[in-house]
Amino acid sequence: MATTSSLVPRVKLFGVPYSVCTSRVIMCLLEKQVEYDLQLVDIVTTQDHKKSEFLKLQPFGMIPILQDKDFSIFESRAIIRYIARKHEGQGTPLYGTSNKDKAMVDQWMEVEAQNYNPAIAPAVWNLVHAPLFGQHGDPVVANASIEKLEKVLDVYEGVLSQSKYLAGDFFSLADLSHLPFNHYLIHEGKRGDIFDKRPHVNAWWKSISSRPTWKKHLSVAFPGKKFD
Amino acid sequence: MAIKIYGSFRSPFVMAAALTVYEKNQEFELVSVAFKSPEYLNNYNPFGKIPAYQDEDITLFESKAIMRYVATKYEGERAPFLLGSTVGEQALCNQWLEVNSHSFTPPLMEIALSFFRTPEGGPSVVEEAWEKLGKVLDIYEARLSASKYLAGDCYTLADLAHTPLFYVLKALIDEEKQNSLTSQRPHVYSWIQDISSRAAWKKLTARPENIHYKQR
Repeated sequence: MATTSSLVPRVKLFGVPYSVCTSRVIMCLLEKQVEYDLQLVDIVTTQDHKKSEFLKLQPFGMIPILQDKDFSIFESRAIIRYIARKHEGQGTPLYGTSNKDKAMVDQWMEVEAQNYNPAIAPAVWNLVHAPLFGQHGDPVVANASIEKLEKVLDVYEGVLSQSKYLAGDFFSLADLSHLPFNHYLIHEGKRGDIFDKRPHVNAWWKSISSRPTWKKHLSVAFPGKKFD
Repeated sequence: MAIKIYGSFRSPFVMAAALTVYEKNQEFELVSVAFKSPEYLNNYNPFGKIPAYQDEDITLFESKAIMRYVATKYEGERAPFLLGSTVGEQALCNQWLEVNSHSFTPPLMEIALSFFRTPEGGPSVVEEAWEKLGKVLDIYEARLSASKYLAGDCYTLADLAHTPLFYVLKALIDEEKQNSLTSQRPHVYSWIQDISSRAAWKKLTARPENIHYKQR
């Protein structure tokens, strides 16, 4: 007998598994137990994301895009909200269980987007990705970015001494959003020291990065590599 | 307990939070704060930024989190729902809110702040910001020629998030620069006129705390 899941078309995710923003979406799909098809986009050689077919779906020319039947959506943080909302009844409750939970999740998602991301992104670009794209990684810019990030982490240390996760005592979209950039900074940028010296931040990182869903994603995105 | 919004209307982000309260037909008290003080950091926003929001149920910071909370709490007031009426519209509202955060606001704020302090990196940073803003508005022009508002046929938080930012920019730049932004973008122009003529916005800008900018 055919299962219902085989009758429902899968969502399509356009991106690459090692991209920060695509990873965010993959992690959400895994947590919500949503089946998907990954459509690889060559962002390195043929630069498919700058071509007119792609730009029709994403006029800013950036991955990822989620396509759900006739409907498409871009911006990873909007995509994960969509998935979490649409599949509220299954998988991990990534918005918590009450309106107050949801408000706290929204607050910490904004913190990630407005405070954390601008502090961590330049460090990861200069330490990890610039060389991969044939560009010069500037250690001065990386260090200035790390300094800013440490100030943000000081606030996180305080918050995480009061609750297990950012929005409360439940894993949410807010924690999930931090996984990809943290992974790159720690494992490829070799700056795990800034997490090690903050015990609550460190415990939080260890907890969220040891989720089976994250480990599953890493095994696909970086096959053969081990991350402790 | 009445709604309290902490901050000043110098910040377009405080205005956006306040505008959402008015769009949902509620009232608020605007409370000035010393936002780097220990009292503010410990009780309202540990990042020392404005706005913060308080009602009888919750204390919140980050303007877009406040906007979402207020829109959800007062869902019954003044339909359609400010976050979008269908799952699809909600998704697009969230999408364009992210575009506002990551693509629209940074170059606009770079330009706006250049009127108050010398930019790190010099005037070329402001030139680049104008270019970036132009490219973003080209994308908006294409979008708004396909739908009345960013998320679809109805006004949502995605549109609202832009109103205070256009207001601040318009107050600072000269008429020639203003025209350069919209003369080749008729849909953007109509949309700005539309979102800036809403009753809630007029009510907000009529408040005594409204800032009247002077050009440098």
